[in-house]
Amino acid sequence: MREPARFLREPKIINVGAKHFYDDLKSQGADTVHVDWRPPAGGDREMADLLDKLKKL
Amino acid sequence: MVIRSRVYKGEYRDSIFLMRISQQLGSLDGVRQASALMATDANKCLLREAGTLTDEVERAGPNDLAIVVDTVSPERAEEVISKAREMMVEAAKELAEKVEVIYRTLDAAAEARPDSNLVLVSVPGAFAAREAERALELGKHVMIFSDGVPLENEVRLKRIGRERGLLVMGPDCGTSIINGIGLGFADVVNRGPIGIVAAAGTGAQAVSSLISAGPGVSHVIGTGSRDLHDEVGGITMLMGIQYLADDPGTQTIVLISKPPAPTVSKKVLDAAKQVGKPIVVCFLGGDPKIIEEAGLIPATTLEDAAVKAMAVQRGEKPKSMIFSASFDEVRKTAEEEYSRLEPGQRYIRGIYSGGTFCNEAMLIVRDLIGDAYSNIPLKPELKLEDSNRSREHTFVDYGEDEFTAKIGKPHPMIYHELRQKRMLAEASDPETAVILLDIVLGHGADMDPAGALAKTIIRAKKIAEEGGRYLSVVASVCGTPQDPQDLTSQEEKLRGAGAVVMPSNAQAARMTALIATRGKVWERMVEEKL
Repeated sequence: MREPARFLREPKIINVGAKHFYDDLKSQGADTVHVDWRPPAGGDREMADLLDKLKKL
Repeated sequence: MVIRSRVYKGEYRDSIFLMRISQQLGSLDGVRQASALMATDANKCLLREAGTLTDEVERAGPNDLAIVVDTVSPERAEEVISKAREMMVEAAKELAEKVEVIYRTLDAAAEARPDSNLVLVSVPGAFAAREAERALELGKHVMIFSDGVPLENEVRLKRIGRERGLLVMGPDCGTSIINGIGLGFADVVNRGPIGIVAAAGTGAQAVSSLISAGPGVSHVIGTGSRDLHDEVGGITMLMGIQYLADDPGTQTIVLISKPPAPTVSKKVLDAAKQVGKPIVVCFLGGDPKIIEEAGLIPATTLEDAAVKAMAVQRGEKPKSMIFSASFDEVRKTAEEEYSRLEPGQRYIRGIYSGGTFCNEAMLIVRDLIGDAYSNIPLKPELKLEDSNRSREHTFVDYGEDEFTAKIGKPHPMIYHELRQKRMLAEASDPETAVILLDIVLGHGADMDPAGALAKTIIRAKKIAEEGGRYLSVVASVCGTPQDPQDLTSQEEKLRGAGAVVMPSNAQAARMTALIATRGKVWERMVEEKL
C-alpha cells in the first residue's frame, strides 16, 4: 500500500467560480479560499488562449 | 405581456447565482418569465427562441449581464428589474463582508495558499478546461463541476493528471465528498469505512446517503459522466480505485456507473480485482455476470449496491433486498392504493429530476412489467416523440438539456415548475394510475423541495377526484437527516400530502409496478428478486 494521498486526509480547497460552493464549503468547516472568477480577455476565449500562449513564451 | 430588459456592462456573475436570481424573480407576482444571464451567443439564442430577445440584449456581449423580464405591465417590469438589481448589490455586499480575502485569479489564490491541494472549478464550460489545466500545472487535484467541456479537452486533462499523479474529477462532476467535505451537490453523510467511486452524481448521492445510515462513508470520488467512455478509458475511475485502495480509512469500495464501454469495463474490473478490499460494482443495467466472474460483488440497483456494501463491511453475506418494510406491510399499502383506481387507470408516469434515478426506475419497471417510453429511453424505439406528452408507461427526466440548457430553465433540483405542470397534466389523464417522483436533498439542492411538490400533489389528487378518479402518488427522497433540508421532515411533508413515500427510488419504482398491475407482479418480484 502506498502513502495515502494528502488531499484525501486534509483537503485544502481553492474554489474557482460559483460563490455558492464556497459558502457550502465554509459552512462545512472546510479549509478553503474563494476566487471571484471573471472571464479573461473580456470573455473572448480565443483572445484568452492567445494571451495564455504569450504568457508561456 | 410586456418584455423589458436591462444590461449591465462588464458585470460577470456565476451561473448558479444567476439561476437562483432567475428563479426568485420568476416566482414574483405578475411575472410570466424572468431571466438573469450573461449575454453569450448561446443565451441570446435561447432568448430569441423564447421571443424575449430585446435589441439592447442583442447588442450586449458575453461579458455583460442581462436581466430580461416578461411581466403584466411596464411598471411591474421596472419593479422587477429594480428588485434584481437589489439582489445583485446585496450579494456583492455579502461577498465583500463575509469572504476574508477575495482572489481574482487561481494563480493569486495558489500563491497565497501554497499548501492548497484541490481546486473546485465551476466556471462556464468554455473556460473550465483552461482553469483545470492551470490547477494541474500548479500541482493540484481538480474537480470540474462545469459541463460543456469538449471531450478532447477531458481526455487531455485526464492524461496530464495521470502523468503527474493528480486526480481530475469531471468535467460534469456533480458530487464528491473528500474526508467528509461535500463538493458540489452532496449530502451530509456520517463518516465511516465505505468509499465510493461514481460516474453518476445522483447515483453517488443515493448510495452515500443510504450508507450514511449504516457504517458510514470515507470518501466519494466523482469521475464525471464520460469517464468510462472509450475515448477517456476510465482514467479517473482507475485512479480513484487506487486512491481508495491506498486509503487506510477505506475498507470496502463501491463503484457506480452506467455500463462502461466493454474495453473500459475490463480494465476497471481487472484493476478492482487487484485491490484486496471487498468491492461492490453497480453498472446500472449492465450484465452482472462479468462482475461476478471477476470475483467482485455485482449490484443491480443503487440501493442494492449500498445494502451489499454495508453487509460486506459488517462481515455478513451480501443479500439482495426488495423492500425494507415487511412484505405484509408493503402489500397492504399497495392494495390500499390500487383498490381505489378505476379500470382505465393503467399507467405509471415517472416525473424525474435525477437522470440516474429515472434510468434505474425504468430498468426495474422493464423487468417487472415491460417497456416504458422516455426522453432518455432504454432502447431507441422507446423515445418519446414529444417529451411533454406521455404514452403508456412514461418516464421523463427533467434534468435533460431539453428542459434546462435549451429553454434556459434551472435544474429541476432547484426549480420545480416544469415538474409541477407535468404532475397536473398527468393527473388530468384518465389513464394515469400512479405518478412516481424523486426528490434530491443536500448541499446545492432547493431548501424545501418536498414543500413545493406537496402542494402540487394535493392539487393533482384533487384534479383526479374531480374527474371521478383516485390518483396514486409514490415518491422517494434521496438525502440524510443531517442535510440542510432534513430527510425526515421532507418525507413527512410528502406523506402529509397523501403520497406513499418509499425509502429508496428502487423501492418506489417497485411500488408503482405493484399499483399499476393491481399486485399482479408480486410473485415474480419476490421469487426472482427483481
